[in-house]
Amino acid sequence: MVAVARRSVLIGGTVGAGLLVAGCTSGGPDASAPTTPPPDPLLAELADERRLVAAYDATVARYPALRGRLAAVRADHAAHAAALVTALGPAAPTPDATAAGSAAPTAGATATPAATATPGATAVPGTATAALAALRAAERAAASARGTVALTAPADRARLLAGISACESSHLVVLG
Amino acid sequence: MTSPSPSTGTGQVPALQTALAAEHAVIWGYGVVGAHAGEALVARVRAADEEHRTRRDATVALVTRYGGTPVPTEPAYALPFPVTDRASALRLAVHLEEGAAAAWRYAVAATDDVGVRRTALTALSDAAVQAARWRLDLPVAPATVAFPGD
Repeated sequence: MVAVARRSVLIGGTVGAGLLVAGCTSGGPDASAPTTPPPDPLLAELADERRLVAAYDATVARYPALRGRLAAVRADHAAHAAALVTALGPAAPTPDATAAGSAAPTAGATATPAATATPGATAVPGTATAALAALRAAERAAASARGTVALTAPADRARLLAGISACESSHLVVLG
Repeated sequence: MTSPSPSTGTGQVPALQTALAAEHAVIWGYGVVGAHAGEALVARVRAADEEHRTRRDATVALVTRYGGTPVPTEPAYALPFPVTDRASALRLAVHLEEGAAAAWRYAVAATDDVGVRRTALTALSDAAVQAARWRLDLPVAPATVAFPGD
């Protein structure tokens, strides 16, 4: 019923527009969004590094034979995440229980296909070869993303991001 | 002739000169690597050496375009440790790529010119990749470092 009412309001003219405006202005914090500074660009890079750590944890949980090959790469990403937290300073999010920090023991304890298919968890491909290919693709994307941000970042951040990007490119040697 | 792009920053030439000096040293060093790495690695050492010669030439051109006088190569460089066999040759190769990575990573931060930064980032990444390959050859673990050029 509510959905129908909204739909008719959106389709309708003046009344709908009035409601939409009211909806926006009553949003309080949302209404001031345009004047809020954009989020620190390092936040997205940090989130991606944590996703990478989780991806390695999930892959090793599914294919334990890969642990020896992937452990050092995972450690690199954990170091990247820690360095980004330092660079973010007060803007850094508090350690998130759902992020990489707790992923290792959880994934290790429930290393089943069902676990890896849990919403929000990292999906791991069905073969070790495909899993490595997925990690290679993730590393390429990460190297590109960090490198792009580095091009226009302040000097100290550019140095950090360039180092991370180069490290991620070098991971392809190990994953190849 | 005008300069290739607006030079809003001041660090281009010094940063590139530092990287160029590193490339000179790396090329000299690969001569030593090639003499001791053994027949099986000759082709790969030559390929790595060639990559740095290409980069050196491009950097010379870039320094010149930005109005600098490219630093020349030294007649000889001091080796960080004796190189007498395959293992020490590969360790030197890793050392050379780590040096190149450090110089180019410095260059990334020393300029705010996007084009120069992109050049430096590519060189940094290539050095990190090559260092990882040589570490796998040694072999030494881990093959990668979290912050190449640190």
